Amino acid sequence: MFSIDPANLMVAPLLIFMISGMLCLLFYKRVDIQRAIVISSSLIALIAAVKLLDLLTRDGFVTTQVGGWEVPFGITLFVDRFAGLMIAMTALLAVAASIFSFSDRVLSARKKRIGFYPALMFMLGGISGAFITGDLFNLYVWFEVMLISSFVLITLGSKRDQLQGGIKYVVINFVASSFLLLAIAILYGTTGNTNLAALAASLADPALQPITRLAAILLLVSFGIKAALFPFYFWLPASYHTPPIAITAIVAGLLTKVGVYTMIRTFTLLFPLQQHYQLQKFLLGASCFTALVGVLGAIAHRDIRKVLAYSLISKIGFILWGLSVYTSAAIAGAIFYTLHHMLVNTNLFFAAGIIGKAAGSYRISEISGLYDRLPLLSFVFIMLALTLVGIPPFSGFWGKFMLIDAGLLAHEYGSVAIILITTLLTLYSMMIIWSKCFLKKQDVKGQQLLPEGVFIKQCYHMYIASAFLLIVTFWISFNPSWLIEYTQRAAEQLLLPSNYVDAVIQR
Amino acid sequence: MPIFLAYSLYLLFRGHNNPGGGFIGALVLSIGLVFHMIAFGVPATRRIYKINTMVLTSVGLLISSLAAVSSLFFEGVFFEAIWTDIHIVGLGTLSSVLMFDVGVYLAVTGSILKIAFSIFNE
Amino acid sequence: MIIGISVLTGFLFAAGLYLLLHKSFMKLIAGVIMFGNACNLFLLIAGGLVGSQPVFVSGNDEALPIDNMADPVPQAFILTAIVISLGVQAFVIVLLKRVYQTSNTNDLDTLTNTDDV
Repeated sequence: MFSIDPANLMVAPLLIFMISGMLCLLFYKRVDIQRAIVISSSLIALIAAVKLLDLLTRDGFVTTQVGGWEVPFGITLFVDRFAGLMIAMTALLAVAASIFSFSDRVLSARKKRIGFYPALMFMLGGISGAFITGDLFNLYVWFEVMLISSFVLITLGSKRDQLQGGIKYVVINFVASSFLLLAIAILYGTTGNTNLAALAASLADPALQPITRLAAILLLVSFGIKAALFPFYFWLPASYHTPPIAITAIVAGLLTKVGVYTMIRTFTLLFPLQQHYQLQKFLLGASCFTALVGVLGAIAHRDIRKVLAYSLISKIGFILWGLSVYTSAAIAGAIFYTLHHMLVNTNLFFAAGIIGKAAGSYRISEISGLYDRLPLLSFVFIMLALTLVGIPPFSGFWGKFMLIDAGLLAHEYGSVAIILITTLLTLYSMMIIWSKCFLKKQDVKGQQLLPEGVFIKQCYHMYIASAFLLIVTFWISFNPSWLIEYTQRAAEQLLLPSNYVDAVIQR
Repeated sequence: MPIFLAYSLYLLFRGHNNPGGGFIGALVLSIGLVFHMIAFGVPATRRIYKINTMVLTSVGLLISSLAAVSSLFFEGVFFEAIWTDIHIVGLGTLSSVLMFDVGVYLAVTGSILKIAFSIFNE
Repeated sequence: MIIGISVLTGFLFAAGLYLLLHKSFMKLIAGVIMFGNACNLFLLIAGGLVGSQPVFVSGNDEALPIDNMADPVPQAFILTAIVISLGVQAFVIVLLKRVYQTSNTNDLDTLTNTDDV
């Protein structure tokens, strides 16, 4: 590290990802060099992010002004504990994804040559940029960086299904970004700036309420589309299962969570939900529907990747439900659950990738007898499934416990019931996969599976990436107290937006 | 073509306090190249101007980001402009702002040509 | 002036949305372009159309703000947004061309492969 100045540390992950993306572009014909660049840079970014997290334990936030311009004019960069956690998780997933896609068996060399690594790095750069920015227009720019790279990732290789899913993804996300731009226009027109802190200060004025409510709704729709909230989620299951699994895993783990992050940021800082009662009620209903519809979709579908995509949607519902309950404990639970779910969801897609590689198919009906042949994979999958559902010792339990506890304290009994039903149905959807693909004896005429020893030798990178994330999950599961405490402090920070404003404006 | 190149460089270097700058300059240059491409076809343009769009884009982006990072080494804030005392006739004052503009110029030229090539390449 | 641009923006929004919802590829492209331009114009008028002069007078090295200047911030936003929408539009055009080549259809309603259970 060239310097441990906190302001430099907070831009470090962003810069590392962007510069390594550029270097990958420079060596676009040499896959081996790109691979080395990507793995080393994501490791460095992880170290920087952990250091930043450590710094935030003491200070609470880091902020800086780009180019030294003063507050309402320049772009603010702001990292608090929530953003720090998200950046660290992004870097962690970057490491895992680059290990997973290391081998040409997972992602063909041709796809790597036509720009997998640069697009991946620019997407990660865009995501870290969206996490650290303190300016609404800058957020739009990072969103676009992230989206254009993810467009490239999702359509990489130009298979027919990929392109068809890609159209839906591209057009709907284009409309979402346009809505964000419209909201920015309204907010700029009424208050005269786009800096989040300055906006939060001026939006407290009730005289502006009628017109800024329009902006709030536009932001809700825009971020709702990106986070796959209930009425706006249709693009996700149409596109997420089409690209190669290495791409699906990283895209599914990260992109919707950026939508969730911005939503939590917006509706605690700019439009605190306790002042916008209707929005809170809408969000509460929409998130319950998201949870239910997602899990019902997961039960209905017969393709492992689609089951996982729908269960992702239902978990988005959980997280946003935590936001809409809007107590400190509920938001802490939402943050904890976001982090847990980024880990587990990515890893489940990794496991699905291994299943697909071993069995040659993703259709549940065509896979059988995995438990007899691949015991290690079965162990990984059942652990992940139980973690996702939230069986007591695992991290899903802690997140869900925090959420439900907070919900009961806030007297939201109806929606707590819906969340609990959803959990039960998630268990059911996971057990369909477990019993049909793993426990059922292998068909005689079905495809012959390789013995696990041979298979691991072929695809050890996939196992390493999966085991790496599983170890982190276990570490959080059996050692949750520091993370729970950290998320609680992050939530308290989020619920006191005046701190944010003071930190940025009076520096 | 030389006229487009000369005018685009002129726009690039007058950019700081006058209308102009890296983006506009790059657009002018790529208009010239795209005309050439329409007239003679993509392979001819590639052969004559020996352009590697990927390298052009990435070098441009690297120069720009170097301009952004450079202030970190001089005790400045991220992206802060650094001005030197060197004046070159016709170019103005050397600074990290100019460096950023040059980077943008290369990157935009590269990416626009990449787009144009891939649309025209049947 | 403001009324004219407002009406134009509304018209562009309506046309863009209509074309976006249409099932033909070419109309989708036109819709994306119109919707993007409508957003940019909306940014311009929402920022307020004040002043008609450029921000800085130049000629010497001193750059001074003047009276009757236009608000530069929406212009900067729009410039950025135009660049971004250029990228998105180029991507959409290439994407639709590839879809046309692989699926051999010009009708969005037939692209339902990814929605099967």
